[in-house]
Amino acid sequence: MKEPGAKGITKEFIKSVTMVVLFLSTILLLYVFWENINPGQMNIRNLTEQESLHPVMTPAEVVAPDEIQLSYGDGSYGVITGNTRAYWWTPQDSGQGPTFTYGVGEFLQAQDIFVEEITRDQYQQVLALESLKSIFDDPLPLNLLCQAYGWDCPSATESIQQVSEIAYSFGSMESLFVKDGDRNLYYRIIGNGEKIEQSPFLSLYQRIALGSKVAYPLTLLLGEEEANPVLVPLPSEFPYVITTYTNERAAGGEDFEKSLAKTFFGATFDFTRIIQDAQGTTTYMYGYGQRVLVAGKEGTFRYKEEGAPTQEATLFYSLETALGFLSRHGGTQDPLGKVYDLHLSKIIRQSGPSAPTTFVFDLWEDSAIRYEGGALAITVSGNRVTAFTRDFHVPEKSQTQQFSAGDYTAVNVLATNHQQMGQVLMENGFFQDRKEETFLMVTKALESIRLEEIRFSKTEEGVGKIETCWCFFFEKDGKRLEMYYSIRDALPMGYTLR
Amino acid sequence: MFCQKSFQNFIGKKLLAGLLTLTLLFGMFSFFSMSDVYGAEDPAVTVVNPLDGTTVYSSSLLISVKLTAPETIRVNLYKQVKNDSNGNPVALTFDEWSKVRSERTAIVSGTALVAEPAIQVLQGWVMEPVFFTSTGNLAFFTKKVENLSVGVYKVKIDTMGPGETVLYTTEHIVFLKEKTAQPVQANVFENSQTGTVSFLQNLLKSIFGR
Repeated sequence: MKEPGAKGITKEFIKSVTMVVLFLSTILLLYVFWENINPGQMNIRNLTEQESLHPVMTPAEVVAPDEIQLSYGDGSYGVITGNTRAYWWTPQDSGQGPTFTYGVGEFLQAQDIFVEEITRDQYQQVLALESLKSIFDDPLPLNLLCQAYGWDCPSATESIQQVSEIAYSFGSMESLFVKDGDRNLYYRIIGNGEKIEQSPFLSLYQRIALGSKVAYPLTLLLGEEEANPVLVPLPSEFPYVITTYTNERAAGGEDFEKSLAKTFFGATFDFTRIIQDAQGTTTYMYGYGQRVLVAGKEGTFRYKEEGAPTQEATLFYSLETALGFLSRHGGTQDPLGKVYDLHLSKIIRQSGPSAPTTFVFDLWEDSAIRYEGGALAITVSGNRVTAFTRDFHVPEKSQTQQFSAGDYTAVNVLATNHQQMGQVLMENGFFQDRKEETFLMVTKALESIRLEEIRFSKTEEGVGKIETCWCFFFEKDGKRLEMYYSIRDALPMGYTLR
Repeated sequence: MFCQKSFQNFIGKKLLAGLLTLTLLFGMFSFFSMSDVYGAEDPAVTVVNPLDGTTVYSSSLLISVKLTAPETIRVNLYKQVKNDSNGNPVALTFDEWSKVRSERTAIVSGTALVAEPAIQVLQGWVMEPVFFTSTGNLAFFTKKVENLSVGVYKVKIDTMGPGETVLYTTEHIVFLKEKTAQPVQANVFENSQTGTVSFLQNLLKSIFGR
């Protein structure tokens, strides 16, 4: 028998190594298949750049109602339309007292929870008593809220799809109330009930009462014939803010732009073309355009990524994906180092499985600023972010003064401008023809009246203003129109169709 | 002689009746001119809130006035008071106000035996008068008056003319009571489903879907 020589041993060794490599490749391919990973999208950068530079926000931190209303039970109300977060959710150690989400979480821990549909009249009657109500301009799915805040939502609540209002009334302490504005449905969630002194909503009610502006239903201010229960703020004094702003590109210069671009294309910009046009727009393009970042002249950053969605994802998971992406690409820090809070203002969902979902956010500080268009929009397809738009502002000069509405109360702005409002509503398809008096048509269509800080659109040069003004909200067939008026002279300042 | 005496009696009675009528008319005129009727109501002014004679269970009051013509109004709020035995103003009770109202009605209808109500109603100061000018054909004056005590209040709207002249006056009476005195409302969910029915319905929904 011939002893194997050195050559034979080497051959056997190569065979063994090949077997090991083939075995590992099989495992890798199985993993790729199992995770539904698109090999075309894989590159070395994906494996190296995924470190978070900024803290990852949780969905609980970015969801907050656009308005909180409080009924005193005597026909008068209190409203909070600024930054509602302190009343809605805070980390547990904040020491500020119970929040709305805490109260709901405690309520849902009851053993037997029932859900029944109630009428609009019942809903309005019970909330006309001493009560608290959180309002979301863009309804959110109940299961998203349950996941975000760890509410123990029982199966009985599955019939509730969207939450446009969630409320608690001291007139029915064993119940929570939910309005699904999209489907025009009203629900009563019945729990165990509790003693008033044990209810976390009691101290929350007192806290909100201290921080709210007085408001009255439009019916009470205008008379019964124009029946619309929308609340009209009637503050004797309020802070009037006017701020001029510039954009991030102008404030942070090329350094800021490059540092943001590096989070998308790597520090060395490998395989990335950088194209600058005469108007001042810079385009970063990876490969043949698989990934593109456009830094607009006016200071907006738009990023897009090609590729099919890899897998279906829940809304909650998509939101987490979006927030994770944000933490790796600039976070909410502006070029001057200021870090903003985020507020989820809108969710745009396209129909179909794995269809992209766009999350639109506003930036909140101590006060809340409403945007003509969001500050941040992140589109998620499956478990990937396919589009990202960043349009932050950088404040320059700001003035704040206490202001008295005087003659230009919200109802007088309405009375002065109802013809113009009617015209805009007609032009945008809210009315077909003028069947009745314009004032009645306008007041009936009103959804909300608020005193808010609005960031108006910037000019081509990327500058603009933020100003406190009267905002009138109208809604029809999923369309939302916001009209803005000066608190100083009641003149129209523009409108946004969302 | 008898004729002369009866004639004198007749003249005396006539004089007495005339004097009494004059006193009554003067009393009525002076009473209403002081407290209630200053002139006709302005057709361009509507007090939207509070409605006349309503009861508000609150310590605050919303005054809302609708104007449908360019004009200036003066808005005032008075608490209805009387002087006590020491001459100090005290709030009129709801019963006293009812009595005054019924006496006034009787005086106006001529069925009363007295010339003026037993209680003299005074206008207690609550706030400084507020002037509001409307420049268009539709405007609203709105004001919340806070920290009011229980009692009877009068909202008075004067339409101002040139100088300090008052062209029209509109008045509304409102009763302010404690919030706790509010009548208990019927249970909104009196006719709603029982827990068992809700439970079964939810169970069926969860099994078969909606």
